Amino acid sequence: MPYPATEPDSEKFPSEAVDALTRQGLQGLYIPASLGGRLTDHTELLTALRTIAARDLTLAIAHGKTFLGAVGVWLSGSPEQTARLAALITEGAPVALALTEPEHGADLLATDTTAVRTERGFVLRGRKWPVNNATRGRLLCLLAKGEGDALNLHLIDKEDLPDSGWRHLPKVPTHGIRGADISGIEFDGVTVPAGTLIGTPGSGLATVVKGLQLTRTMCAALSLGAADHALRLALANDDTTPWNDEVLATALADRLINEAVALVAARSIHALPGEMAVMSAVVKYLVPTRTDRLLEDLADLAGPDGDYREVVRDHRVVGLFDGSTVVNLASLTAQFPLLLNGYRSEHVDHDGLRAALDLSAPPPAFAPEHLSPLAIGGSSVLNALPAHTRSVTGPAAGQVESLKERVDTITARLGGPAAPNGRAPAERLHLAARLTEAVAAAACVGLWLANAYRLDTPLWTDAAWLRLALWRLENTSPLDPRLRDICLAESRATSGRTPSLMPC
Amino acid sequence: MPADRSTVVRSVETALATTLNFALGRRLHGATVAEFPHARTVLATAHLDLEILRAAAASADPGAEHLVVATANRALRELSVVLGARFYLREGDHADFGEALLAVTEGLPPPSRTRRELAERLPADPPTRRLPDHAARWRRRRADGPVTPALTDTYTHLLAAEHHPADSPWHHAVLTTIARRCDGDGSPLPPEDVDDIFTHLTRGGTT
Repeated sequence: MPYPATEPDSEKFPSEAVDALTRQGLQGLYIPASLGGRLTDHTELLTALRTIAARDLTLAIAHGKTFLGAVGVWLSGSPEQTARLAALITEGAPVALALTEPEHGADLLATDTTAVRTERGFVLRGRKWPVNNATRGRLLCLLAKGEGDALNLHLIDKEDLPDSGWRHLPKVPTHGIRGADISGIEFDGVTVPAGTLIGTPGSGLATVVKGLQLTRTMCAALSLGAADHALRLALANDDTTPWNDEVLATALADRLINEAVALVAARSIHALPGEMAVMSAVVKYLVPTRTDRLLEDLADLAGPDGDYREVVRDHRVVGLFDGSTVVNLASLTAQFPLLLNGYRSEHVDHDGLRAALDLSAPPPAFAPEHLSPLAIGGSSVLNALPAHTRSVTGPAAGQVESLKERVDTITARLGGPAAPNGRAPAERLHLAARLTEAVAAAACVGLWLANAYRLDTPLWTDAAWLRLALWRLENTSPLDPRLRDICLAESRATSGRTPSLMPC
Repeated sequence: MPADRSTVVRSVETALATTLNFALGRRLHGATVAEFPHARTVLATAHLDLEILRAAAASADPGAEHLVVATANRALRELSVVLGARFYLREGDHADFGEALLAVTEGLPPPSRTRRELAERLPADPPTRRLPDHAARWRRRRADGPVTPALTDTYTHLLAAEHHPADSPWHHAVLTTIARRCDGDGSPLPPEDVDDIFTHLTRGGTT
């Protein structure tokens, strides 16, 4: 994709590159097609952001944050608000999501910023920091306390604000994504119109929770892109020792696992929206965490090149976006009873699962009204594993059977009382982390079963990629050299364009 | 290595102290971060990692360098989760953490390199006397195929068991942690160990 190169480790915002992407219309993918945009399939947005992240993570974050800022309005805004925002984004206006405050971090219930209703609208007081694009964003989707401490979202257009009563807070120097606009904003009694309120009074937190299910899933694009970048640099090292080959194949296995779970999660936004409380937490924990380790593992092959160090530093922030690793694991522990019941009863939304897994057809239209704060039936992807295990034949059958036994062991431990916010015992969070691997493995099995019959590339023949992914998730036996060679041969034959489950 | 071993130990000490101060002062969901089981466990485990680091830093064994690098990276990675967004900032009350992180992640060779270098000169008879069950598993893995990254990590953890002082109050907890890592078992420290170590840390005990 042609756009101006950015300076390595530059503290300067990549304005030219952002503008170039805007001229090419990337922002159309942040806007639902029903509002005149091009967002019909979230896997397209995932692929677009991944492609940019594979070149420049700062750029992908700086531009893609508009989707994060806008999503609350798409979910709960009035027709007038959504139409106006769609028009502004189409013109290139950046949007920021102003949730976090200096003293409260992930504890949104402790929000101190207030939006008090008056005859003229709402009076805003408080500080939002650190916020991505707080300064450059023309619009802000702001979480604030209203009447009776109810949390509300407001869509603020800075061009509607007077000159006084608010100010930007300075850019925060960060270790990575140094050019990004990580700054803040402070309100000191400024009045905004009544029409800024999004949704009904008190609906702000529920909207944020649902919106994060989408944005957490899209964060996988940043990790997949960073992994692509790292693999490209590592494959340029032509020292093909057995050790290096094993390290590369292991990294490819990790990237394939991450792709599989990200792809199924992105399609689940459309096909299984009621289960996104699980899938988004799984993908947001698993993909950045495994990518951080992948980057560490490839460093010997790809480093000490300055580009590589920048990728590693830049990517470390992805785990923090839209809910940290602990936040996502804790949200899974809160759903353990639902996940246990769903797995034991093999509760599966068959139509939804088929649509999530079958790559031969576009996913169904997104129905945001079906998003839910909890996945009542657990995860169809996980719950289908027993049936899928019975269906797998051929070279992967033994591995899948062994995997299913491990998943049985993990799910059997999900019983027990849920802990209040932040108080989950460490072993429950550890169990949640193991559960994310179980869901990822189940996603790999389901994806392979649903598509292998029609795909005959080296990656799909004889279940090569599935066996490689399950080998990595199992992590107890030596790597089959034939699997290693299949993956590496394809990577080297295509000059570092690594084998992928996604078109990119 | 550009950062020497004493610098690495000091960096992890700084990171632990910075994170501990943050956890004791920061309130979330009506409690301090230090009251959350996950944060307490990470802080206590980082203290054990420091004990392992100090033992490895004083060793001339060929596995010592990898153990220093891998343990320091692991400790900082886990602590950064407790510190949250603060770990990423280059200014402010917690900027020391970021400096420590860069000293380790960019001042040392990556763990993937030290692991490879160790594998290339792995002794034929690794020190396995103190953990016989794990030694047996180690030998079985070696018989299965080529030296793998996991196997060399197992070796370096066995090395730590050899060098950790038996009179340390945390000797048992260190050995248990090492044994779990040899097993590939990432399960957290038992709550009773966490409480003991955490009490030591918050009563002014050295990190």
